[in-house]
Order: sequence, then structure tokens, then C-alpha cells
Amino acid sequence: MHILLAEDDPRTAQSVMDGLALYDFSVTHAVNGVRALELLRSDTFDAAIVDRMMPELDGIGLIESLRRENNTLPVLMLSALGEVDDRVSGLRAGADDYLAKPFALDELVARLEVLVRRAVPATTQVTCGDLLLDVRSRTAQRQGQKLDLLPREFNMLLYMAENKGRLVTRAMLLEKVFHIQFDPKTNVIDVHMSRLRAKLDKGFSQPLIRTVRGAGFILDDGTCV
Amino acid sequence: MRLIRSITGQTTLIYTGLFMVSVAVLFSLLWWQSSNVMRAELDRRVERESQRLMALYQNQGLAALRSEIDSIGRDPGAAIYWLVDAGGVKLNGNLDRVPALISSRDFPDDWIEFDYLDATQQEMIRGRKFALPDNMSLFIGRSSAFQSQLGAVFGRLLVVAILVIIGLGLLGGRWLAYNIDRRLDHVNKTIAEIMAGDLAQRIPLTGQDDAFDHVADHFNRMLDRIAELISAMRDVSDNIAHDLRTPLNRIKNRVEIIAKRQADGKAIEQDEITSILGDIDDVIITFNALLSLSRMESGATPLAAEPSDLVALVRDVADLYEPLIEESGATLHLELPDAPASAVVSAPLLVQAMTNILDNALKYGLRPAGTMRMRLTEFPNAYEICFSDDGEGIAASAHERVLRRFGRLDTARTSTGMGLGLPLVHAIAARHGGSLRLEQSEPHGLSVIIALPRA
Repeated sequence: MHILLAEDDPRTAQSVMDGLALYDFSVTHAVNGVRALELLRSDTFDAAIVDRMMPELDGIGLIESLRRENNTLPVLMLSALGEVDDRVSGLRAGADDYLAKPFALDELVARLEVLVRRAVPATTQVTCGDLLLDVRSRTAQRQGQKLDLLPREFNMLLYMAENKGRLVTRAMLLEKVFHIQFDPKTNVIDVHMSRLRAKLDKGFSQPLIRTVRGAGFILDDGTCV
Repeated sequence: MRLIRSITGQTTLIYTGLFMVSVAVLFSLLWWQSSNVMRAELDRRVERESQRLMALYQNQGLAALRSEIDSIGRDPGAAIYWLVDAGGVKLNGNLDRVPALISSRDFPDDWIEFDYLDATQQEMIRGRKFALPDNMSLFIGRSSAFQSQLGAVFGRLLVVAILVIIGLGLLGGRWLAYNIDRRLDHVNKTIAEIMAGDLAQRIPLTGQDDAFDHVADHFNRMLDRIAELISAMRDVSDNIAHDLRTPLNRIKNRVEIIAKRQADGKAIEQDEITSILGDIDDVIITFNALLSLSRMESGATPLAAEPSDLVALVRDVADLYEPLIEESGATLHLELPDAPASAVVSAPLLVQAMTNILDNALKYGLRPAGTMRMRLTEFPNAYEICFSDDGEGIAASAHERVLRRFGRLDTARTSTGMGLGLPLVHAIAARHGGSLRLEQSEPHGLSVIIALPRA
């Protein structure tokens, strides 16, 4: 996967590139927004990571230029401004996701994976192994057996099923399922997850949700990738 | 020159000048008024004299008049008489000559003044002509030298007065300058000492309750406030240092252990790495909270507020926290209005405030088998979101403290809380034009209430 990284701080850029290399991303680095825009016009990328504050053309300006040119490349904005308000303005400018510095590498990778593969056509049914989710009736069944889920539990499961086989972090679940734009750093998501798991796996030998320590969760029965 | 540049010097100059001008005006008025009074008296005497002489002429004839004029004209201090016939020829008079005008037929029946110059002296004469039968006329006049004499007297007095004013003005100016400089010296000395680092210094008050004392009092109170803030700031830095040193120290120890293991050729436990990452997260969280709080309190960035439904926001937060509250053995009670409650807020910030309150309650307030109540109430001008637990609560006297940075209640600093949660909630509420208040729940427990203005 080919990623453009627009970041003016060389040390941050190097650490991001080193980290992404571990996950087999190939990264092209642009030292400012103007250079990034040139590269994005001339080359094809799967996604871009854009720092918010850069000389000459900042992240917001870069994304706005990109969107004006009808370029729909998935863009993740990075910022030292971690305020929830800043996130709103970043997303408004056209970023697809927003991550505040300092961030965990897992978080960045998980979000990139979701961004790159986000173009899932809207379907009425989502499956993962023996799990079947009906989006319209908002019901879930496993091996034909209906699961008794609360709406929020269904939403969590649906989000994980849409991104099955990929790491889903706690912050992503907070944002996408609970509409909470920041991570309270409590075990609040873990409690939801353990309840969901209890309902999901009760009576089945094969657990569907796997915990990735310190990072998040993966919905995966080993067959559904 | 220094005197002229100084405020006291300028004040002295201006006041002395103004005083001199007013004394000059006063003296001129006095002179003018006195002259008028004396001139009126002169005119009255001349009129009386003319009436007496007219009566004499009418009763006893021209000869009697002429002999009378000759006789009284010789008295010292006598008036001036000048009797002429129809042809303008002098009949009697006690002057050698008069201005031609007086002898002429065209001379008006009006008061005139002229300079009379004889061998010995020069005098100002004022008088008028009275018509007698047979076209004769009699001029009666008197010396009006008092006018110039008065002028001279007032002039001399004015000079003396101005000299006195200048003298007193300079003395007064010196006195004023001395006093002001003495008072300002105290202020300057105190400021110099404060700048040198002694923030405990205060400007002494004289007890005169004057403008200087008022300024000094305000200045002292400002110093008190600054000292308070500096002390609070120092506490905050101490607390930050403490809160960050602890996890950093743990990280250091663990990294040392890992390095040792590696040196010994042993495997590195995943647990060790995870716990280092956890400690680093703690440090980052503390910094983020501090930065959020500073930014919120400084109001540097505009609030990205949008019309939002508070009912939905409260429900989202309740949805998120319900399992956590249940895990702790307590129950969550949600009281929401049926209709949406629209307010212009930054939804993410408000959610952050609410989760902070719930985190606090979970950490300190909620007892097993207790109840957590979340209630949204509409008032005519405000919405109130109330979070009540039935734990031990916080004594009213400590309410203010927990709203301060690092103002947590345990002095031993053993708990894991950062003491930044409620201050941030406070700042977020204030940023929305609302407020945060703590109350005692009935029968026990803490109620945290965010009040927001209605759009």
C-alpha cells in the first residue's frame, strides 16, 4: 500500500515512516503542503497522512485544494492540536479521519487500513464466518440462532464486521459507535466489549472477537478475511 | 528646568500665573469702581455749587455772583470757575487761561475733562458748563487727579501683591513637590524591592485616607492577588512535577530491567512493554488535560458551537457509561425530557465534560449497590444537567478546592486521579456561558450540575 506523508518535522516523519514500514506500507514523504500537493497530482497513492500545521500550505489548505480538484483520496489528518474542536474543523475541511499527536502506531495503522478499504458498498447483510448481520432489521444471528443485542451492541458488532479481520481500536469504536470524539482512557469500551462477547460467544466454542493487547479488537473467526 | 518639567513645578507655575491674573483683574475692578464712586461725588459737588451760584445770581444779580466767585476762588482747594459773557470774554475766573473750547459758544453743556498746566503743576480737571441768562455761561470744574493717584496706588499694590504671590507660589510649590515626592518615594522604593524579588513588600499607608492612600491600597491588594496566583502556579508546577515524575520513574526502572534482561540474553516479556506504554499514556494524558484546560480557560480559540440536542448528547453518554456503572454494582437512572432540548454547544466538549464527571463518580463517589442519577432539566433561561451519586459526597467547604487544578481531596496524593477533571468541566461550562456547581445530594452524596444558557 502506497501512502503519502505530508509532515514538516523530520523526526516525526522518520518515526512514522519507520513504524509504517513494519506493516509493509510504502511511504513517500513530502516536507510541506505544496510539495505534497505536487506529489498527489503526479502520483497515485492509496491514502495520505497530512500534518495539520506545516509551512507554506498547511494541512487544512492542502485538503481543501485536493477536494476542490475532486480528488477523493482518503486523508488522515495528524495534529498536535488534540482538542475536539480542532478535530471538527479538520473533518470539515475534508479530512476522512483525524488523529491527535502523540498517537500510538497501532492506532494510526488501524485507521489507515479502515480508510483505504472503506469503499465497502452499502449492503443489507454483513457476514463473518457463522455470524450474519441484517442491517435493515438490525438483527444478528449466529449459526441461524438470533442474538439478543442492545442497539449499541449491534452497532459495535456491525462496525467490527464491516472491518472484519482488521484491528479496530477503542478510540475508533468510541468515535464511530458512540459518537465520542475523544478517548476517556478508561476501560469503558472493554466493558462493552466483554458484554458483547458474552452474548456473541455464549454456547459457541469458537470466539469471534480477538483482543490485541494494548491496541484493540479484531472480529475474526479465521475464515472471514 | 527640572522644576518646570516636573508635575509639581508645572502645577505651581500654572496656579501662580492664574492667581496673578486674578489679582490683577481684581485690582483693576477695584480701581475702576473707586474712580467711578469718586467721580460721581465730584459731579455732585459741582452740581451743588452751580445751583448755589445760580440762586445767588438770580437773587442778587451779576455783581454779587462775580464777587462771590472772586472770593471763593481764592480758597485753597477751591473749585475752578470760569465765567464768560455772551461774547465768550472772561468776566471772572481763578485760572490764568482755559482751553479755547470752554470759552467758545459751541462748548457743549456736558462733562469734560482736560489737562490744566500752570507754572507749578499739571492737573486733570473735570467739570461742566452751566448756562446763565443773557447768554452768559459759567464753567465749574474740580481737580480729578484722584484718578491717576488711585491708579498709581493700585499699581504699586499690584506689584507688591504679585511679588508676594510669586514668593508664596514658589514656597507652596516646593512644599507640594516635597510632599508628593516623599509619598511617591515610598511607592518607588516598594516597587524596586518587589522587582528585586521580595514580593512580600507592601506600600505603607499614611492613614490620611487620601488619593495616595487609595492608590497604595489598590496596589497592595493587586500584589496580594499576584502573590496568590504565583503561589497557586507554584503548587501546580509542583503537582505536575510530582505526577509526571512517578510514571517516568517507573518507565525508567522498567527500561533498565529490559536492558538488563537483554544483556543477560533473556527474553523480554510483552507485559513489561505494555506496562511501559501504559505509563507513557498516563504522562500524555496529564499533559493533554493540562493543555486542554489552559486552552479552555484562555479562550484563545473560538468555540465551535452548533445547535445540538442535549437530550441526545446525555443519552449517548449514558449509553456509553451504563455498563461501566453496572459493573461497579450500581444502577444508572436517567431522567430526560420527552422533547429534544436544543442548545448551541460544542457537542464534543460537552460530552467530554460529562464523561469527566462520570469518571470522577466511578472513581470516588459511587458505592456498590448505589445509584447514579443523570437528569436533564429545562428552566426558562437555562438547561441543567445534574449528576448525582449517593456516595460520601464532598464537604461544602471543599467544593471550591476540587474545582482548582490538582485540587483533589487526598493530601497524600496516593490516588490515581489527576485533579484536572472537574476544573476542565468547570472551564468547559464557563466557555459555554454556563456554570458548574457542586451540591450535597440528599441524604448523602455529591451532585455535580452543569448549567447551560438556553439558546
